[in-house]
This record gives sequence, C-alpha cells and structure tokens, in this order.
Amino acid sequence: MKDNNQLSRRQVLKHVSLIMGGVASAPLMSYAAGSSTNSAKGVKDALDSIAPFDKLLSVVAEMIIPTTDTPGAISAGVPEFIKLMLSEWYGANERQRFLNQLSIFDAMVIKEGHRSFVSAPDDAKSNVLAQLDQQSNPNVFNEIKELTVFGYYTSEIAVQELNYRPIPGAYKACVPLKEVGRTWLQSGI
Amino acid sequence: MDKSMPTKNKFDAIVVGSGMSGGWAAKELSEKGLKTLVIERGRNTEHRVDYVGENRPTWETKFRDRVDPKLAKEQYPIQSQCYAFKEGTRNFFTNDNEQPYSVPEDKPYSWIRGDQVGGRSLLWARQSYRWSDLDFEANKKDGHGIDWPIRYKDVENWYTYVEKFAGISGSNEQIPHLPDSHFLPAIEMNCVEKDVKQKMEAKFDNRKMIIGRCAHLTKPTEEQLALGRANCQYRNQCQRGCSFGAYFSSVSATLPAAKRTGNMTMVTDTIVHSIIYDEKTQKAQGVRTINRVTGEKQEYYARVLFLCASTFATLQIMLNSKSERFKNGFANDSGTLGHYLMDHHHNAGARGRHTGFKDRYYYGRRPTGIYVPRFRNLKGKDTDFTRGYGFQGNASRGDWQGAASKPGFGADFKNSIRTPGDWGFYLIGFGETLPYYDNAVSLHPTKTDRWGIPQLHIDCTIFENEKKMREDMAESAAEILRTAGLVDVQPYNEKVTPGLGIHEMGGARMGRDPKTSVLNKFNQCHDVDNVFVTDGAAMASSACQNPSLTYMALTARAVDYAVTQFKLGKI
Repeated sequence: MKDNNQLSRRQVLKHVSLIMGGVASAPLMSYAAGSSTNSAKGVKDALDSIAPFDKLLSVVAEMIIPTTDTPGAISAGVPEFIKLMLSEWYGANERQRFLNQLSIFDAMVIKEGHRSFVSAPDDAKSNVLAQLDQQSNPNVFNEIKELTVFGYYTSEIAVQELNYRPIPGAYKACVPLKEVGRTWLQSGI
Repeated sequence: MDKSMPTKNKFDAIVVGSGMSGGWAAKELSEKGLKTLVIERGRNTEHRVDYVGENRPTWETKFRDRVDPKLAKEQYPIQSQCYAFKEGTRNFFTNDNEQPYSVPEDKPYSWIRGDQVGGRSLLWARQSYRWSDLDFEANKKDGHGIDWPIRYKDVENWYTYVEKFAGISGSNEQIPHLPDSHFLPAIEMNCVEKDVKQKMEAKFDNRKMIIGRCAHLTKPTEEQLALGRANCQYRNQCQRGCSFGAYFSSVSATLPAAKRTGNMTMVTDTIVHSIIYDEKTQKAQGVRTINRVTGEKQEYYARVLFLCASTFATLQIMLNSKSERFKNGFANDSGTLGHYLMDHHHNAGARGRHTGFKDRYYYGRRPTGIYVPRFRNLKGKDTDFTRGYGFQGNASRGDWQGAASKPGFGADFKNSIRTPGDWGFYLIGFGETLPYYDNAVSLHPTKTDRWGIPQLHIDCTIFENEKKMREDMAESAAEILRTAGLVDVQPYNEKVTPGLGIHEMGGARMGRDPKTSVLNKFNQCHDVDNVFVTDGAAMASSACQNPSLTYMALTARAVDYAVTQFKLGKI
C-alpha cells in the first residue's frame, strides 16, 4: 500500500473526523449537509434526476471495488447505496453539483475519440479514473470513491472481504499480523 | 413525623434522576433501609431488552448506522454533534425538541442529554479517575473559585467503596496527583503505545502514559456476578447498550441493586417541575411533577430529597422552585445558584503516524485508550496558564475508513485494504476550565417548554486561560509524538463549543461559606438541610479528570451522612 508523505486535504478531514469519532468528509457524513426535502415526492424526483447516470455510477463503483475472489461493488449493492445517498442525504444543490460534474467522464473519453464513458474500452475507462484519481483537487471521482468504499465496507458482503468478529470475547494487545490475517472490519461504537 | 405532611405519595426519600448519580443515590438510600422514590423524566430502560442497536450490523439500517439526516436535522440538531450519536445509539439521546433551551446569539452551547432510566450512564465513555488534593486545593491556592470544603482524605474511602461495586479496570501507578483506584485487572496497551510511552517517559521526567482507567469488568467479583454482570467481550459498542453488563451503568448495576432491596419505587416519564418548600418547618416537603405523556400533575413527598437530574436539569428545578423564602431560586441565599458553570474544553492535541510495527496487530476492540495524566503546573506555576490538562488517545492501524483518501482503484486497491495501514497515534487534551461567575444559567424570562416550565438560558464560553492552555495542549502533544519518532505529526486546536466535553459542572457549588456557595461539605443545601445535590452541579472546580467517578463517590458519601441525620431525626 502506498503512503503519502504529504497529508492531503482529505487526510486532514479524515484526521478531524477520526478525532471526532466519525468517518469521512462532507457532504457524505455531515448531518448539517443532509437533505431536508426527502418527502416521498422529493425522493422520487431526485431518483429520476439520477436515473440517466445509473449505468455510469455502477461501472465506476465496480471499477473501484471489482469482483475478485470476493464479490465486488455491484454485488454489494453499492450503486443502490450511492443513489440512496444522493437522493436522501445530499441536499438538492449538492446533488445537482454532483450530477453536473459527472459529465467529466464522458468529456474525457470523447477527447480520445470514444462516444461515451460507459461504452469506451476498459483501458480508456481506466485511464480516465487514473487521471482523476491523481488530480490534487478533489473531484467527483473522489466523491464516488468515498461513497463506494463506505457503501461496500458497511455492506454484508464486506464480512467476506475483511476480518469480522462481532463479539471478539477477548482482547490481545499485540499479536503477529499473520495470526489475525486481514484488516478488522469494525473499530467500535 | 410532622403532622402537616400529607400521607399519600409519601416516601422516606426522593431521588430526582436515575443516571450516574441518581442510580447511586437510589442504591445507597434503599440499601440503608429508606423507602425511596426515584423520579425519571424519560422513559423506562429495560436492561438488554431496550438495547435496540446492540449487535445490529450496519447493513440492517438504511443509512448504515448513520442517522437519517432529516431526522438528525429536525429532531437532533444538538445531539447529532456528539461523537457517539449513531442510529444504533439514537434511542439513548434526547430529542432536542423535548426540552428546548436558549443561548446568546454568539455563544453556542451544546447540551448533550439522555432522558431515560439510566440517563447518560448509558452513553458515557467510562473513563474513571480519582481526583487528588492537587484538585481539591487548587481553588484555595490560586484564588480562582472558592475553597472546596473537602480534601482527598474525605473522599478516599468513598472512592474505594464505589470502585469495588462499579468495577474499574486500571493499573497501579503511584502517581501522587492521580491516586490509584481499587482496580480490576488493567487492559493492555498495544505495542505502539508501549513504544511511545517508553520514549516519552525517557525524555520527560514528569510525563507518564498509562492505560485508560475505565468502568469495565475485566474480572468480575462475586458481587458483580450476582447482579448478572459479566466480563467485557471487547466489542467496544458500549453506547449501544451492553447486555453483558460489563459496562457500568445505573441500568446494569446500581438500579438492580436498589431494586432487590424492595425499598425502591420508580416512576418514569415524570418531570419534576419544582420543589415544595414548607415555610413553617423550613424544609423541602417534596416535589411537584408533570407526567410527560399525559400532562397530569402530581405531588410526591419525602423527608429527604436528592437532586441528581444532571447539572442543568437540577439547576432548572432549583431555579424554578421559587417561594416567599426563596424568591431567586431554591436555597439561593448566596446568589450563586446557576453561576460558575464549567465543562472540560477538548479537541486540541496532535496526531501522527508511526512507521514501525507493521507486522503487529491487535485482536478485539478495546473499550478504552491510553491516558497521559496532567503534567503542567504540578508544583507551582510553570506555564503561562493556570492548572492543567490530561491527554486521552490511542494507537491503532488504518482500516477501510481511511481508504478512500489513498490513491488507486481496482483489484490492487481492494486487496491493499486487506492489509491494515500504518499505525496512527492521536492525543486529545481534556483541559480544566476555571470557575467564572459569568458562565451561568438562568431561567429565560419569557420562553417556556411544552409543559409551561421556563426554559434555561445557558451563557457559557471559554476565556484567556483556557485559550492559552489549548495552545500548549496542541504543542505538547505534538512534542510527545515527535519525541517518540512519529512522522506527519499534526497539532490541532479545534473550535470549542462548550457542552461537547459532556462534563458540564457547577451552578450549585459546594463551599465552606453559605454566603458564597449553595452546598456544604456533604452536598447538603446550606439553606435547606433536607435537600442534597450530588450531580455535576455540586462541583466547585472542574479539575481535568473525567468527573463521573467523583460524582459516584460524593453521592455515596452524601447519602451516608443524610441517612445518619435522618435516623437521628435531625432531617
């Protein structure tokens, strides 16, 4: 795993949220940023506005966390989770900003002569994600990545992927990593 | 018995509140044979049955254990600022619309509340530290606040008494200003914590790092087992409710002990409106209550009254208890009722990354962290501020929660998360706030709650001494981590919103002089001898240690005194 020597803005946020006992950055986890219009009709309207991007969100989520020897983002229901967050957690302005920014995916492959992101070949899609991932300014891909990671590792599928012990029964302060195996899924509260 | 006393709804003692202090008052009074009524404004909490979030996995709630943002915004705008506010703990937080309060426009105050049987003893972080004479003598020595009417020797045995029952896990350290408790076995520090401890202690004579002392059963006694309590299972999901009873709460420990005496009666959903004062006998006769659900009014009577409703709720009752004798609030001849409020100011410290121990990990989720006891101004003043702070913290390895900020995507990215990230270490200061007259709570002149009770107006902030202390917290935390060889060390000093320390104290302070304090050395009102206040409101200074253990000890001690006086017929 690579480590940044420089702490990025995201890591600073992460640092703050760790101290506060929370998880990621705004608007993903900030209650203050949450939608206040999630009436039944509001939710339906929001989902309608997201619908044209359903395929794009699924493709990107599965590219972030693909199926390997364990199921990937789609099997874990991540696209549905992202849509839930967009329609019921994000405020209308945040949602619209997010949806507007999604146009960058198509724009980047069109420059390379493809019709659209979802129809582009795999290597073209990967190039786009790699470029967006390496940008220093936070962009919509970073946001999808946060939503995907959160959605995946809080899903039931994640118990196949990481170390899950709902009732450990004991505490051992310092053991060889290879005895534990993988990263713990839960950290408490 | 006084002939003017009614006979209906009549008890020997009334305890208002069933949280940390109320649970202890209920246990001690009923074990000493007094017919005791406990009045709780919230609903009942059935041990195990009402722990709705316990063991519930994230995927079984809509927002993966986050609270629906609409609900958070509309019903929990204050409570949602608490680090422990999750969908799985939400049932133990009070709906903010239930008991509104006001603040000055430029001075937010976040009052975190748990109105239910068990109160915030179901939400506390279990950190348990004795105070010492460094704390009890501080006011007298530096002149901030009034002298405490007690010293460590007055509470030492009471600390031991409550610790044996509650179960406090920790290590014996012989630190003069942080006396050892009667401990259950300590939980271990992990390898990085031990490494940082060793390097820090080698460099700084007066800085120590110890395992956090916490109210968890690590080796239950016969007495604890008899109450149905069991060993900690290392889930670290305490605030969801602990069916093992390893986590000390009044629901798991003190209330069951009170109940088995047969002397306790509990009424829930019952808000105490005010204290009934009898001008003839110059004693409190009982309390006026309002049923939270039906609105029905009821009076309850007793010879002894213990106010344990939590600092602000107790002060609200006292301020709202006006009579011919007490025109400005109950037992308020001193005029200090509602003043000298304190909270620990926190969220200043540092965080860093340890580059070693990559082949080491831990098993289980420890329900405590490490603690660095106060090391500033121990002998005289060695800084530009008064008094001091302690650090809480821990070392842990990175997991998926930080993964989105790491570069990459795809199978390699996914697989990389299977290996824990580097060790991170954080230190967070908890600092003493001095007692200031201007940090005060009063009744709002016009606003009332839905039951017609005047709302509280809370006016609190931090001042220069706290601000200077916070700069030092961040600097010294960074210094500790750098000394231990950590990299990417980042000091931080976040904005302070008073209340979020959730250690609110003061307002009915103890003191030697009735002219400057509300309570005497036994938590007894100077002006009304059958009323005792043993929650945070009684505190004359805040020290920097977490206060619950001291509330427990002071409560048990006050009950012992009250019952002696009761049996002598003096109250």
